[in-house]
Amino acid sequence: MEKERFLSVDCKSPDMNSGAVADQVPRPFLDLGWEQPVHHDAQFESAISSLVSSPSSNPSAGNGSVVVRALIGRFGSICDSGEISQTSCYSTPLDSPPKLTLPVLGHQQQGGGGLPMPGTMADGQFTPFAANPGFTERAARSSCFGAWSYGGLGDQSGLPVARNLSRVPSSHLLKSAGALQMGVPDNGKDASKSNPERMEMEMRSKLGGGMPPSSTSGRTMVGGSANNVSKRKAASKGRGKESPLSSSNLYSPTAAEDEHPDAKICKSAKTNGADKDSVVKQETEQNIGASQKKGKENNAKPPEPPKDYIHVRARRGQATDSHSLAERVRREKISKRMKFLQDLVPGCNKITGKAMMLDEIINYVQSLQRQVEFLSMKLATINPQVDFDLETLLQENMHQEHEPLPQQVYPLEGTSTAFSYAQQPQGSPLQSAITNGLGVSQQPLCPTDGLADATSQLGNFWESDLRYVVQLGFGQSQGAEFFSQSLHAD
Amino acid sequence: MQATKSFEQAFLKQMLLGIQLSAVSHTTGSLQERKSAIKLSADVAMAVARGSKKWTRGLIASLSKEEQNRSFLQFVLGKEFERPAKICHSSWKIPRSKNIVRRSLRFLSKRQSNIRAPNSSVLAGTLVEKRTQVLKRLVPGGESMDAFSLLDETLDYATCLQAQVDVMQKLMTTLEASKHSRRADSDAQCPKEKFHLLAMVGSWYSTRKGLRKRLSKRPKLTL
Repeated sequence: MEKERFLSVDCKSPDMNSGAVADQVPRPFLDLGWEQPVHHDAQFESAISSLVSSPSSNPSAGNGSVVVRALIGRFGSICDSGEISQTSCYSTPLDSPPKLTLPVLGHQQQGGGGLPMPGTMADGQFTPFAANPGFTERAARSSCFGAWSYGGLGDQSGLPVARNLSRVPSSHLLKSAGALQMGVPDNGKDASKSNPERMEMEMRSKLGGGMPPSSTSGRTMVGGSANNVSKRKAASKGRGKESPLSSSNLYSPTAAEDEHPDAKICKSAKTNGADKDSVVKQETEQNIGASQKKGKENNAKPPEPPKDYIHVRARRGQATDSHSLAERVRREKISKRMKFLQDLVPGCNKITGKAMMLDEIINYVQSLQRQVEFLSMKLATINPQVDFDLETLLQENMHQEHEPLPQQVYPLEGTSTAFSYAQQPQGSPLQSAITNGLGVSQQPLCPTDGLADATSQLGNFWESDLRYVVQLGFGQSQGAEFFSQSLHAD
Repeated sequence: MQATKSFEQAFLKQMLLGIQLSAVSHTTGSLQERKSAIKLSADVAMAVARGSKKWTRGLIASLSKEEQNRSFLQFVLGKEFERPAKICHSSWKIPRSKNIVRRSLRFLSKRQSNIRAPNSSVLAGTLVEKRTQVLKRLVPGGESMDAFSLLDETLDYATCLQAQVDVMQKLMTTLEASKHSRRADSDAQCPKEKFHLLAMVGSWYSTRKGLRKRLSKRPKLTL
C-alpha cells in the first residue's frame, strides 16, 4: 500500500533534479493522508518540505545553503545541547544566515502557520546546537533524511555549506548512500571524519539514496519512503521544538505521536527493504537513540526537543531496550496494516484487536475462495447455445463499429510480455464486447465500483476507467437498456 | 478499496482466453473437469492481470505443481511461466540473523517464565500466531512471508478475489440473461448486443475456425 504510494511519489522524484517540481513534493505527502492523529503534523510537514525543497526551488546557492544550514541547525538543535564539542566552521557560517531563512521560507506559502516557526526555531537554536558525534551517527544511521532535496543540493555543487563541510567525493557519498540503503550503519561510526563533514556527507548520502539515477528501483522506493520518513520526522521534530519548554508530561504524547509517523515510516522503509536489513538498521538506530536518551536525561535539561526525527523514541516510562523499541515499531506497523484490512473487509469497523481482526480476515478470504469455487462450478453448468452464423456476423459488425479495447489500460507492474497473448485479434473483439457490456451494466448498478479510494494507499495504484469503458461501448443508452432489460428478466 | 475497472477487464479477458484455450467443451468434459478448468483459468487470469506480486507468484507456482496444469500455464504465460516457477519456493525462509533470533527467543522465554497466570498479552500473542499460520496457508505463497508482507499480500489478494468474484458473477448473470432472452424471443429481432453476448458464449467452446487453427499449431492441451 505504502509501497504503491511511494511508487507514485517516486515517479515524481526523477523530476526533482530539475528543481522545478519542488512544490509538487509536499503535495503528495499531504495528499497521502496518512491518518495523522495530530493535525498540525501536516503543517509542519509542509513547513519542512518547503524548507527543504527551497534549495531545489531556489537555485541561488546562497539561499540554498542558508536553508540547508537552517536545516542542519535544526537537526543539530535536537542533539544533546550540552555536548557542543566543536565550534567548527560549521557553526560560524550558520550564525549569519539564520535571518535569511525567514524570507526564504516566506516564499513557500504552504505550511501557513507552520512556516514562521521553523525560522524562529532556527534562530533560537543555532548556538546551542552542535555537530554532535552522536547526532551525526544517528543521522548516518537513518536513510530517512530528505532525500528528495538531493536534487537541489546536488545541483548546487557550489553550495558553500557543501564546500565547507564536505571533503568527501560525491561518489563516496553515493556509495555510502547505497550502503545506507542497504542498511549498513557504517557512516556514523567513522570517527576519522570531522563532524560537520560527516553531517554533510550523511545528508548527502541520504539524499543520494533518494537520487533516482543512481539508485535502483528498489532504492528509489526506499528513497521515496525515506522522503516521507524524513518529512514526518522533521515535522515531528519541528513540533517538538515548537514547545521548547515542554514538560515531561508533554513528552509522552508528542513522543507517542512521533512514533506513529516513525512507525509508519519505518514500516514503509521496511516493506521496501529486506526485513533483516531494516531490522538491523532499526536496532542500531534505537540503540543510539536509547543511549542518547539516557545521556539526555542525565543532563536533566527541561527544554529537550524529542530526538526522534530519525529513530523511534522510547516513551516515557517504557523500556528503552532496543528490542522493545523494535517490537513497538513492529507492532505499530502491523496495526497500520490491520486498519487497511479493516477497511477492506466489510463489517469490521467495530472489531478491535488483532486476533479478532485476523479471524475476520481469514473468514473473509475463505468465503471469497469458496465463492470462486462455487461460481466456477455454476459457470461450468451453464449450457450456452452456440450460434456460429451470429458469431461471424457479429465479428464483422464489431470490427466495423468499434475498435477493440486497448490493452494498456490496466495498471500492471511488470509482466506485460505475458499479456501479449491477450491481444489476439480474435479474442479481443468479443471480449471487449463483453467488457463493454459488463462495464455498462455495471454503471447503473454500482456507480462507485471501481473508483479508486483516494485516501487509501493503494489508490494510486488502482485507476478508474469507468467512463472510458462506457465510451468505447456500443452506445451508452443501448447497452444500458439491454442490460436493464436482461437483468429484469432474471 | 475496490479493484479498478481495468483490472476487471483484464481479468475477464484473460479468463475467457484461458477458457478458450483449455478447450473444454460441454459435451466432452465432465462437470468436474469443466469446473476445474474454469477455476484454473480464473486463477491464472487473476494472477496475470494483477501483475507481479508475491501471492501471484505463489499462486502460479502452486498451480504449476499439478502436472495437468503445466501445459496450460505454459501456453498462457509463455516465457513468464518459467521465471516465477523458479523463483518462488514454498520453503523459502526469510533470512534471519541467528543472534537476533536467539536473543528474541531468550527474551520470549523469559517473559513467559515470569508470567504464571495466562497473561492476556501472551494469550493474544499465541492466538494471533495461530491465526497468522492459518492465514499463511490461505494466501498463496504465504508460507515464505513475514507478518508485515503477509498482511500486505492479504490485502491485495482479498481485493483481487473480490474482483474475481464480481466479474464471475456478472459473467454468469449476462450468460443467464442471454439464455433467457434467447428462449424468449427466438426470431432475429434481438438487439445487436444480444448477438454479442451469444458470440461470447459461443467462443467459450473454442470451436471457431481461427482459434482451432491456432491451437492446432501448438501442442494439444489436455485438461
